[in-house]
Amino acid sequence: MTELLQHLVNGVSLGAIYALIALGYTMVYGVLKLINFAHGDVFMLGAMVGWYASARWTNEARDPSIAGALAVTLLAMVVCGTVGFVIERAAYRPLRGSPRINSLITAIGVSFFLEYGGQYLFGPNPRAFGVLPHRANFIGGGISVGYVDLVTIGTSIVLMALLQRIVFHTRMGTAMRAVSWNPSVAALMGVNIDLVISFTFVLGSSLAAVAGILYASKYPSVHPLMGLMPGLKAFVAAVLGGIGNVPGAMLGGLLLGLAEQLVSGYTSSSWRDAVAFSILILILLVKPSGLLGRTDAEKV
Amino acid sequence: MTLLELSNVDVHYGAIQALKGISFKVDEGEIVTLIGANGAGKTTTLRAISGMLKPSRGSIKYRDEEVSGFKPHRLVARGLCHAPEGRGIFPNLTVRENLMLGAFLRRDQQGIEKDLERGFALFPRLKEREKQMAGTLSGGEQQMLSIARALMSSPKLILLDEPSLGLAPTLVEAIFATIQQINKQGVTVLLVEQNAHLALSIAHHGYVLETGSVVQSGKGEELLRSPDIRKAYLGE
Amino acid sequence: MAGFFGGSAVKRAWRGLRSWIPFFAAIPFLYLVEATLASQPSLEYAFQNINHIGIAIILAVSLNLVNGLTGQFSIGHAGFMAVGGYVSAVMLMRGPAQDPYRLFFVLSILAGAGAAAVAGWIVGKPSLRLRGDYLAIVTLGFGEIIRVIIENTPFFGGAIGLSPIPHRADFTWIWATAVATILIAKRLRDSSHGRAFLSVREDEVAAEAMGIDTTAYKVRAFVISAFFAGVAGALSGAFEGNLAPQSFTFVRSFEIVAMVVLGGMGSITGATIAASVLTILPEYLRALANLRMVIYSVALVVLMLVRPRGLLGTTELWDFVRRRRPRAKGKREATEALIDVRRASIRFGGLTAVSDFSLEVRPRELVALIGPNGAGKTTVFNLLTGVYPPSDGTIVIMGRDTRGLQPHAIAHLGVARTFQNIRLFRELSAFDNVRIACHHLTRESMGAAVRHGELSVVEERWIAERSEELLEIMGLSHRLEELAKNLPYGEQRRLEIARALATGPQVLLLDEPAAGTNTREKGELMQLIRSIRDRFGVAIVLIEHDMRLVMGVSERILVLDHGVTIAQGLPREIQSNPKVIEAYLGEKYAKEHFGSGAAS
Repeated sequence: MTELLQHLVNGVSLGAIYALIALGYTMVYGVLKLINFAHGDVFMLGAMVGWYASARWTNEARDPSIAGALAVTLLAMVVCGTVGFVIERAAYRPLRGSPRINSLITAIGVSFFLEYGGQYLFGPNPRAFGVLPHRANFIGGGISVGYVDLVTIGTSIVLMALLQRIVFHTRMGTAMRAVSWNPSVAALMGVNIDLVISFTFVLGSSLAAVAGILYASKYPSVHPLMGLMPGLKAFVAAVLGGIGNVPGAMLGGLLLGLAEQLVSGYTSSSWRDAVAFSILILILLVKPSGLLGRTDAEKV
Repeated sequence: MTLLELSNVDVHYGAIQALKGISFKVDEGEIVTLIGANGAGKTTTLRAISGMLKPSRGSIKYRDEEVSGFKPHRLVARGLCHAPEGRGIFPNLTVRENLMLGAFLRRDQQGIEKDLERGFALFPRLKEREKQMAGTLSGGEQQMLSIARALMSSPKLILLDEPSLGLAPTLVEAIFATIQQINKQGVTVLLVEQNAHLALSIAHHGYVLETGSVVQSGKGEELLRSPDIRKAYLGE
Repeated sequence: MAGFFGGSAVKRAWRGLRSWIPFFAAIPFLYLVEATLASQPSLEYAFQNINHIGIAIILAVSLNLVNGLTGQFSIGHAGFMAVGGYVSAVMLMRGPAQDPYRLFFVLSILAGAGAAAVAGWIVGKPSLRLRGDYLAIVTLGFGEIIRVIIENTPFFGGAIGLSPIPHRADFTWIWATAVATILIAKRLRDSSHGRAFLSVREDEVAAEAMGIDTTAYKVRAFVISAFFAGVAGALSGAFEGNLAPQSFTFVRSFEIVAMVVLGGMGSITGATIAASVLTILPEYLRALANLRMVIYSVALVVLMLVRPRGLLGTTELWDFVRRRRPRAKGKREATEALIDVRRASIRFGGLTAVSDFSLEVRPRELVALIGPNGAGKTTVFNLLTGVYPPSDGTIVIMGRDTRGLQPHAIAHLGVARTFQNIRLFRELSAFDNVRIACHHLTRESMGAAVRHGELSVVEERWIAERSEELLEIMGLSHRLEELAKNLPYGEQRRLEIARALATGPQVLLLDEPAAGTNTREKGELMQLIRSIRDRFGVAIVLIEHDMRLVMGVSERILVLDHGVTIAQGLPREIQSNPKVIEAYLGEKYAKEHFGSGAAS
C-alpha cells in the first residue's frame, strides 16, 4: 500500500511536468494544427539556460536561494519564449497553408537544429544541475516525498490555474480559442491571427522552460538530447487528452506520468518508454480524438 | 461620398485567375449588390475586400485609404465587417458568446450592450436562444446570428455573402427586410447574392460578374428590367 | 497436349526471366567490380561507404513508396529495418557455419523481410485510417516500441546487441539487391497500381470515387515498403557483422525520411541520389564534426521553405529518356435498373440534411436535381456514391443494396461522379488523371506489373488508348501531358468528366458542371452532355443552377429544398410549379418568365 502511494506521488510529480510540456503542444496544435516537434527541445533549452544561469549566479558550494531559483526560471522563460517566437516566425509562418507534411518535416528539422546546435555549444555529455535549494525529503507514513516533487507539483498547479485563467477569461484567450475553432472567421471578428499565434508560441515555450527546469532538478542533469523523450511523451499526453484541448493536456499528462511510474515501479524501468507509445497507439486506434477531444468530419 | 472603391483588382488562386480587373464603387449609405453565376468571383471579391485574400494587382480604397493587402483585423478596426458565406458561426459557443466575439475589438462596454440590444431587436429569435449553443440553431437562425454578429463590431460597411443561402423563402424575405432596416440605420451594405431578383430589388446599385470581371452595372431596378440579365440569371 | 502445356510454361518462364534482364545484367558487372577492386586494401574504406550507400538506397526507395508515392507519412522505417535485421541475424548465427551458395543467407533475408512485412501489416492495417500527423506519430511510436522490445529481450542480445553475425553480405549482394529494389519500385510506379498509389496521395475522396480502394492501397504500400526495409536490415546486419538497438532509433528513421524529402517526394531517382549524397556527405563533413548535424538540419528546413516538393519533385531520370505510350481499346454495355433510392434520409447531428428522398434512374436517362444552395443536392450525390451512409432508407444500385459499401465499391458498380469544387489529382497530368480512373477495370496483379507480365502489358496499352480517346472526346487532346492544376477552369471541369467516364460508369453524376463557365461554354456543355449520353449510353444525373442548361438537357427534374423533394416532373411542369417558384425560382422571376413566355 505504501509502495503504491509512493508510486502515485512520484507519478503525479512526473505527470505534472508532462502536463506542462503537453500544454505547449496542445495550444500550438489548437491554433495552427501543427505538431511542433521542436517543443521538446525548447524544454531542453529551458533546462540549459537554467544550467548556464545558475552556474554563473549561484555558488556551487552554497545552497541556492529561492530568489535565485525564481530569477533563473524567469530568465529561462524569457529566453525560451523568445526562441519559440523566432521559430514560429522563421520556420513555420512561411509554410502556413502548405501541406501539413511539409510543416511536420520542418518542425522535425527545427528540432534537430536545436538538439545538434545544443550539442555543439554545450557538448554531448550530461552536466549536473542544481537550481533549487537543497532540502531533505519529507517522510511520513513510510512515504518519502522529495522537495523537488513538492515544488514541481505546486508550481504546476499554480501555472495551470494561471493558464486556465488566461485561456478562458482574457481577451487573448478568447482570441486563441476563436482561432482554434476557425481561423478565418476569427480574423473577420477582428482577431489578429499572427499575434495570437506568436502569443501561443511564447506562452507554450515559457511553460516548457519551467518544465525543463523542474525536470532537470528532478533528475539532476542537463544534456542536449534530454528533450527528445519527455517531448515525445508530452505529445502522447496531449493526444491522450485530446489534442487542442487545454484541460485534456493536463489530464493526459497526469495519466501518462502515473502509468509510466506504475509500470516502471512494478515491472522494470526499461519498459517505461514502451508504455507511453503503447498508450498512444491504443488511444489513436480506439478514440483518435482523445479523452476530451472533439471530432470533426471532413466535408466533401 | 465614396466609401469603398476597387480598381482593376486581380486575384489568383495559384495558377487560376479568379478575378480579372474588377472595378466598382460603393457610396456611403447605399446597398450595393454583386450578382452572377457560381464561380463568377463574387465571394472572391468580398474576400479580397475584407483581407482574407491578397489581390495580386489593383487597388482597394476604403474611406480614401489604400487597404489592399491589409489583414482582416485591421479592416474590422476601421469599421469594415464581413459576414462570410456559410455563416461561419462558432457552433460550440452560445449565441451570446458568438455575438460578444463580434465585438472583439471594442472596449466600450455600454456601446457593446447597446448593440447587443439592437441585434436582439432586429432578430428577436436570437434573444430567445441567447444561451443556446449556436450549433443547435436552425439554418435561418444561424444566418441571423452571422449578420447580428457582424453588426456587433459597429461597422460602417458590412459585407454580406449569400444571406439567403439555403433559407426558406419566407425567411429570406425577413432577412432582406432586416438588411434594408440595417441600411436605414446608417450602415452601408455590400451584398453578394445568388437570388439576383431579390438582391436587385433592394439594391441601389448592382454589378454583374461573369468569370471574374464586371460585365454590366447600373441601378438596381434598371438591371432588374434588363433583358440580358433576365436571360442570363433568371434562366429564360 | 503435353507439348502445348510444356511450350507455354517455357514461354512463360522465358518471359518472366526476360523481364529481369536489367537485373541479371547487373550481376556480372557488380561481381567483376568486387573481384578486381573491392579486395584491394586501399579501397576498403571506400567500399565500406559504397555499401552503406547501397543499403541506404534500398531504405530510401522503399520508404518513398509510402511517403512519396502514396503520400502517407511514416517515420518508423528503422523499426521495420530492425525487425528484418534481427530475424535474419538470429537465423544466420544459429544456421550452418558454411553457406556455399548463400542459399541459407537468401532464406534468412526472406525470413527477415517477411517478418518486417508482417509487422508492417500489423501496424498499417489499423493505423492507416489515421491521417497525416497522427499516422506519423503512430509509426514513430511503433518504431520506438520495437526498439524497447529488442533492448529488453536477451534472445536479441538486449541493449548490447547481436555479434558476431556471419559476414554474408558483400558489395555484389548489396548492390544487386539495390538494383532489384529500384527496378521493382520503378515498375510498380509505372503500372496502373502505381497510379493508384499516386491517386491516394493526391485526393483520397476522388480516388475512392474512381473505384480505388484507398485503404487497401495504403496497406499494400506499407507492407511492401516494410518488406524492403527488412531486406535492408538483413543486409546491414550481415555486412557489419553486428546489430545494436541504438542504431534503430527515431533519428535513423528520420534520416531515411530526409532522403525521401530531399530527393523529392515520389521520385525514385531523387530518393536514390539523396540516399547516396546523405550517406557520403557526413564522411566529407567529418572535419566539421559537431556542426555536421546542425548544417544538416538547417539545410532541411531551408529546403522545405524554398522547395517544398523536394529537389527533383516527382521527376524521374527516365522521364528524359523515353516517351512511348502503349495503345488498345474497349467498350461496355449498359444494362437496366441503374439506381433505385427509396425514402433515404440522412442526419448530421440533429440536422436532417436530406429526408425521405426517392429517386429512380433508368438507363440513358437525363435527370436534373435543382434547388437552392444548401438544399441537400450534393448530399444526395454523397449518399449515392457511398461517401455517407443513409440514416434511413435504402439505396439500390444495379440491383445491389449499397448498405455498407465503400465509395470505391460503388464506383465498381458503375456510378461515377464529378465534384462541385473540382477534385482532380492536381499534381498529376491530365493523362494520368484519366488513366487512374481506368485502374479498377484492370485485372493485373502487382506481381505481374513488376514482372511486366503479358496481361499487364496488354492492359496498360488498353488503358492508354481508352484514356487518349476520352481526352479527345472532351477536347483535351492538346493537354495530355499538362498537370491538372495548370488547366483553365472550364477544362478542369471537362477533365473531371473525362475521368469519371473512364471508370466505365452506367450512371454519371455531374455536380454543377457549368459553374464558373461563361454563356458560350454553357452552350457547348449542353451539347457535350447530350453527346456523352448518346455515345456512352450512360444515364446522367445533373446538379445545376443554370436554368437554361437544366431546362435544355434534362428529361426529368427533381427539386429539393431543405432536404425535402418539393416537386418532380418534366421541365415544363417544374417551371410553372408554384412551390418551386416560391422556394427557388423566385416569384418575380417566374412572373417575368411567364410574361415573356406568353408573349412569344
